[in-house]
Amino acid sequence: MNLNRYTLLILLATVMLVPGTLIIAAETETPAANAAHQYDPVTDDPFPVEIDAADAIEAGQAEHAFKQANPCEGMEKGDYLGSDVCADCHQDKVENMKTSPHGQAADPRTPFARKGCETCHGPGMLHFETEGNCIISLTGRYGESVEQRNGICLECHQGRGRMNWTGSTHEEEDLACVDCHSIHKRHDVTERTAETDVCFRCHQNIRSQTLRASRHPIRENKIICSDCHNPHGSAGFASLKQFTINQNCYSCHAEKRGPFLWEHQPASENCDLCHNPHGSNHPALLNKPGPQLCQQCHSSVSSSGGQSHIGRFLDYGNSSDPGVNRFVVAMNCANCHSKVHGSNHPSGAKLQR
Amino acid sequence: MHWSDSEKDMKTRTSLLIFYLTGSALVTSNAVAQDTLNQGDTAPVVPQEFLSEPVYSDIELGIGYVSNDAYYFGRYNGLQTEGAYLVGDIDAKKFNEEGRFWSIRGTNLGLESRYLRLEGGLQGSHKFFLEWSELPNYRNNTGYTPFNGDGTNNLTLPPGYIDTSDIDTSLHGFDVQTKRDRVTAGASFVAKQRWLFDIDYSHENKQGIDVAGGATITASGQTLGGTYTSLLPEPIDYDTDLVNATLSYVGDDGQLDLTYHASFFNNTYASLTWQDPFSQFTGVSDGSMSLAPDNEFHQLSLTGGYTLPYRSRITGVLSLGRMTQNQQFQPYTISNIPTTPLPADSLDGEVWLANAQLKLSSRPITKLRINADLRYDERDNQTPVNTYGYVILDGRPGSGVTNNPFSYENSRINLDANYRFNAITSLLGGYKYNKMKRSNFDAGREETDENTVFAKLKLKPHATVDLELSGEVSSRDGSAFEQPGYQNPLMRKYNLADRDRTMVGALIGYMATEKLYLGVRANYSEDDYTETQIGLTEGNQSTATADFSYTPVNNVTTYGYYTWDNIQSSQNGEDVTQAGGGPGGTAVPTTGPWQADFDDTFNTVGVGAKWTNLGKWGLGADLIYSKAVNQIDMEHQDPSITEDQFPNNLTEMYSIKLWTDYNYSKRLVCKFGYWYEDYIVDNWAYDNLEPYDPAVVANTLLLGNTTMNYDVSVFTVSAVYKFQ
Repeated sequence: MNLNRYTLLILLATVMLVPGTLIIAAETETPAANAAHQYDPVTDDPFPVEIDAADAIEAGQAEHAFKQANPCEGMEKGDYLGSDVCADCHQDKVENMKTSPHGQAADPRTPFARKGCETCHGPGMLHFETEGNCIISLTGRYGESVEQRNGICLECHQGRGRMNWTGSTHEEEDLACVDCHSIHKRHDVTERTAETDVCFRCHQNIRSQTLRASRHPIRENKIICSDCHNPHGSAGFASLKQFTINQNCYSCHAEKRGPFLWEHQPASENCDLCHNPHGSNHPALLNKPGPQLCQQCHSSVSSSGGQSHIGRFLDYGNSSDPGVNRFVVAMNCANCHSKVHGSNHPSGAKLQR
Repeated sequence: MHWSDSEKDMKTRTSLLIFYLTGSALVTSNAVAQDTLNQGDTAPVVPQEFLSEPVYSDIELGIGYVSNDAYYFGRYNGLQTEGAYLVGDIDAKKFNEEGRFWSIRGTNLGLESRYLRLEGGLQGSHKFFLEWSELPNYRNNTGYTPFNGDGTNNLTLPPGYIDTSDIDTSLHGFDVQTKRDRVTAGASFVAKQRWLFDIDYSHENKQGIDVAGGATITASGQTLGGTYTSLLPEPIDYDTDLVNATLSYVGDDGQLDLTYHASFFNNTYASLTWQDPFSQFTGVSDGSMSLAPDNEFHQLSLTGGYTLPYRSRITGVLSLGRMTQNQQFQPYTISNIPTTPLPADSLDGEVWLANAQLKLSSRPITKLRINADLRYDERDNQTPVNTYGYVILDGRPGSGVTNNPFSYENSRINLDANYRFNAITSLLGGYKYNKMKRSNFDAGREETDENTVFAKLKLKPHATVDLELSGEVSSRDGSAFEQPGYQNPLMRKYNLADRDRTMVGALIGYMATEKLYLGVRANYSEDDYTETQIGLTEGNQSTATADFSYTPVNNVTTYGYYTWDNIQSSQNGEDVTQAGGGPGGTAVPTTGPWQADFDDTFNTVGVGAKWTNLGKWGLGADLIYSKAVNQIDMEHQDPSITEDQFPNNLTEMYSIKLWTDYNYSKRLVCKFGYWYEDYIVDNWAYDNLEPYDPAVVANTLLLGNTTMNYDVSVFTVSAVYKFQ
């Protein structure tokens, strides 16, 4: 494949002008009219989720396994009661919805501009008649599949940062939106100070890495997971928000971007070759201590026939040869080669200037 | 609180005024906004409960006390100094019935890690925000330097300094620290419900002092013996401006984002000059190095997604970026060594980045899910190639060197399918291909190809039990190696070398009761660099985690976790001369080969509990213990070398957080907190080294800094007042 920038420009223009225009034109004429998206073509109301027996083989979240079985036949049917009835029993949730973008009826895009609570939970009559059962549960209490439950959220949240949700790592792992989000609460994972704890529930090894000696300010919530990753999927490696690892790192470390006159080519290719961004026991988030980190790629040819300076660290601690120790202590190789990310000095070919 | 309509209106106006005054002058008129909104769907039926009143406003004020100076404890949080500090947080948000809102969120307002965000607008129409964030980075305050002018780019030795015997009397302490201050402003607009436009601009200033090694060299004699180096206080004064603008279309089936991103980096200091403290040996009076050059980056991206029939979706990305750098060059040297003219005044560096992705995900039947993902990334370096004269470390002339702009093309394919056999069993299998093609590459191999197959078996034998087994096998090879003449021809760099990788993983999740969850997961990966004799030969990583959460009663939650990480690797080295020299020459060992084995072991334990609604009280505790040991074992086959094994490095942390809340009334909560942390670090590469001790570390001026242990307590007393 040889896709140069001119080809990209042409492709960009083509995709912008042709399919993009068609998509927008088609949908602008008939907004929200596609029955595949569970809207009533007459009333423009969303259809509630229909529990298909073929799909309803999940038990939802494991804790629901301890609840009494309730088949809730006909759950998808029934009358809408209105959110004021819901508020009779769920006052705390209603109060919190007032603070939430979902609860703003003046915005025609929100659930509360349609059927209120029942926009997402379906008609409430059966729930009312069964004294608290038989309502569409976003936690899967009645066998709603993850796909069905997420489908309710994706009706409105499929664009922008969620565009790559389908086929993303978290979608493949059958994560439900409510595994991380709590829209009835005043603050959920979208609050900066709450996010890492939610991520660490599953990514426990990453929590351990953020406690290492060299680390980003993740413990302090000054950098949080979503500053680098998009948990809803992305086109980048490891769901990074940018397309490549280096583009991601340059977001905060623009001084490393260059381009430099003298490049350290692995650094220009992939920061991860030397650094572990989640934490390390070695300075500067390095994967290994120096000088051994450098020696993984650098041996040298000795012109004098003895030890080259790259190999001389073996004599570390030899009191008769203190010149050796300077290759090992403090910043080791970087004691002299300090421009390891690249140099722009005309005499900096060896990354010393 | 029940307000009359006129009171509500007045308070709403007052609140909005506050936001608009503090937030932005960008707010468009209400009339325009309302017109925009009115173009949407018909008016909704709104339950009266949701015609919102003022919502919430919590303000926390108090005092904290740090028991003693603990520089590294305050590294990122600003609690590095003994004494009192202000505890200040704010969390307020208000909507009115029209959907107008404002919010304020502030954390750590009394510390150098403060964060404040103001936001407001009309939901469904427009939104504005203004954000302020500070981030300190206190790294070390135990170092010394003889240089005056630390914090500037001209480092001078004290008057009267003659030679290295004066170093000890010339030293003064300095802090290695930086601080970032960032302000961001942005706006979002919505039109006809489906069109959104976001724009934000941020400016960040980073100031402080880092450390850089600056070497000089004698005019003749042995290269190594004639090299002297000084660790220098490097001034940091960076300004970075970022612009992001996204135009989005959000349809039912199709979505599009057109995004522009720009970055402008400016370094106040283009170079660093220092008086050479070793001039008595080198004859060099001053050394000079370039600092990070100014640069720019512009990127235009188009991202799209379209939902197809049969529960399928296609997404794609096309992106084009351009990085440029044209900082004026420094001279070859600031010493009196004769040089040729520079081939250009500046680099005129230019790199184009292209990224493309096309992904199809489909669930044609309930039980089957398939994904096909194609990606392409290109770095096309169009920087001019020139031959530059070369002055070695401001001390002696060298031969001309030609720059080698690095480019690559990376193509990847990922295909996978997940089939759910029944309610108990599902199986995922897939294949990945990764091809990397590098050009102008001086490291020995232009192309690598990696093929990977992977599988994951998921079992759910009971609604309370989740089991997973996963495995991945990959193999990488590529084109022939052609090492440059200065490299041992047997060296195989690990990002290029032939490699067989094996990864396995297992997970058990068990909801033992409605109140108790137990989880165990383990992963192991092994890299075997099959053809490598010199360089990294093997590496493996093992991780095991166990965790639980237990909720004995509704108002008590407890949790705990234990993680064990082990990273091992082996590498070989050997010094050689090369018969014939140049690429393809035969290696002739001059010393016996050596091998280094690495072992990093990490243990982390945490437990916590939270007890709420204990009468008017709430209690909580968090305990963390973390220990890391780094071990290196050396072996060599050269009897002439008298090596010492490297000592182990150790990092250990004990952290205890205790807090209690007392709900004095619905409006007022009193909070008391205690945080103890003990941090122990042993790093032989830094500890117990004098700034200048030629008998221990020759030819080198260090900082004499030590690793940053601390043992500190923090007490806080605060009150949260709720204005709701």
